[in-house]
Amino acid sequence: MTTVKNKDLTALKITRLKSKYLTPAGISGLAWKIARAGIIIGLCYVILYPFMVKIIDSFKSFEDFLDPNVIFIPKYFTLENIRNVIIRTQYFKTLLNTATLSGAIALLQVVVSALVGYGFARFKFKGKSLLFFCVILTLIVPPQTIMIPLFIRFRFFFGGLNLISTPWPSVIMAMLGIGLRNGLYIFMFRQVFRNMPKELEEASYIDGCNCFQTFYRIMLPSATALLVTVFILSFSWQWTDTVHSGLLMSKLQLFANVVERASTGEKEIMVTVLNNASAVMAVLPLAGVYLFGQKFLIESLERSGIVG
Amino acid sequence: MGLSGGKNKAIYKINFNGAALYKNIRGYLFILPFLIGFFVIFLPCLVESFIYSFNDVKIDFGSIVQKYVGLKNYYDAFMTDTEFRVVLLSAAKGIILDTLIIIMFSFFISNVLNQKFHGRGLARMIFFLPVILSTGIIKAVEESNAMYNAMEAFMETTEEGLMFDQIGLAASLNMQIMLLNSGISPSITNAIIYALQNTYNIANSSGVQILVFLTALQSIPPSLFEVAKIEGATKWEEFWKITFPMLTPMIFVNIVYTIIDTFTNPVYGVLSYIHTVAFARGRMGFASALSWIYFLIVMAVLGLVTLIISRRISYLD
Repeated sequence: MTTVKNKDLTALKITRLKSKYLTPAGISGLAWKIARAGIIIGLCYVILYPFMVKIIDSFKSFEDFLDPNVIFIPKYFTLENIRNVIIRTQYFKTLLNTATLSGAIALLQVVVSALVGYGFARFKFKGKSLLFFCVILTLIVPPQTIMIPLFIRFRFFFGGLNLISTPWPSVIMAMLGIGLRNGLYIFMFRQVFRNMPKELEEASYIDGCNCFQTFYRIMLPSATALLVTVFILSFSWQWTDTVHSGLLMSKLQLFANVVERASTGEKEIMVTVLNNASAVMAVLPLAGVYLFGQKFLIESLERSGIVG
Repeated sequence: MGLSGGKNKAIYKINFNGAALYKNIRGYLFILPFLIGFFVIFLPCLVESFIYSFNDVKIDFGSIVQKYVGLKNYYDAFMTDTEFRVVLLSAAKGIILDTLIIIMFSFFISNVLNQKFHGRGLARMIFFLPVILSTGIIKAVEESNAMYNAMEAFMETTEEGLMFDQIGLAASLNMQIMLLNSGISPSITNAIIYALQNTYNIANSSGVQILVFLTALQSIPPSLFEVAKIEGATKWEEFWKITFPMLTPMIFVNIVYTIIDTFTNPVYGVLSYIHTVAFARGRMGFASALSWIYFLIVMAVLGLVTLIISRRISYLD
């Protein structure tokens, strides 16, 4: 009795599946699903592959590269490369330096961009659109165009102070809203603040807040997701930045400046391997930050970020 | 009563004007940091760099020595310097081709990522990963590795390396011949081969663009699709009549973003060449001229794109 029932059930299931997939629409839908899975898995593989290879290679010893049998899994597993990277780049000291600098600059950029973005979004003043074009201009001009005057400016700051190879150039530029990709952050904040309901602001003015109180008591808390997003973007782009770090802070112990020290005195394939290992280890902390913050990142960018 | 009302009105009016003025100043107060930054550091630097491009600039024992040379730097850039023209031309080609491919790629991927399937969150996370990780350091290291490997290969062309190169070359050649034989024009064939060889780079530099398209896709009111369904539109028609027109403003935003993003990308070699000229060869004035030429060309491209596209954008509101 039960077996018959089961048979009926399976037959029913099969007919249901047939009616779902054995129609023209069903077949093309299924084909698309398979193709889609292929495309997505393939592209994810393409994106992750270089990281995978770099990570796996950093556990291989030189013999592994000579052995044609070894493709992925190392036969002569070693931690020597990691040790070399840690010693030669003074990993933990560099980590501390980079994290401090990136954190400070990200904080400054968030605060300043939020202020400026709010100013552009919520107030009317003369020359606003022209000034906003200036914001976009700072974004469009490649850093290399103003690189040389910038270098000279900070080399002879206020007539003679040499700020090159101190963190000050980046800090000053972040404070003044012209740091790395600062225009983009200002733009994002402006978009978000512009879309906020006017009633929020009016209510707080009626309650007796002045404009700065309104800003940090009412408007800022409603933009938390964007605050986190801009912090993460700024933090990681400062962390991996090579343009300003290489030009204005070349003697500071930052990851951007010391990554390639990992391969000093090495030969042939090991140069590449150690450089790669060191680069991966340099950005590894960022992966953690991304994992923590990607929810905010995707949400806030999706909601109102760059899209105008 | 009426009098006092009038008085109140007058006071209100004065207050209102005062408030307007106050609000004006408040606006400037909020953007004050940027105002200082722009007018004290950024703009002077931009102007100086423009002036430098007409000068011979050197740093001598801690002071700047400038000598006016007129248009010589610009003349040199095109006439004397043989390397710059080549680098510039290949960069221009690369930027145009890459922008087109990145836009099409991110458009397609964002449509795929907008559909419902298992593991969508993970897929999105992986697609946006390069935005955070694959900038600066990783790129620089990859570049220097490529340079080192090329040098090694040049010094001792190992058999193995040569063999691998030939296999890769043969595979793309085969494909090229196949495409050409099937009657596709050579320029398109080259573009396809280029896109296939650069999948990694393209996927890596499309993160933000995918995000922008995805946002736009999610902001399309679902009622539009409902209406289309009721009227009996197919998925294909829905895409071309609703999705595509709603996305055109974002295509414009993305093209501008991509052009800006790609031309500051070190991959094309112009920027690193300028860096070499400025700091290794010490010709800062000449380097300024080079970077202004590069900047103006990109601005011209941006202007052209704006002219062509902005007329065809369909705005709903």
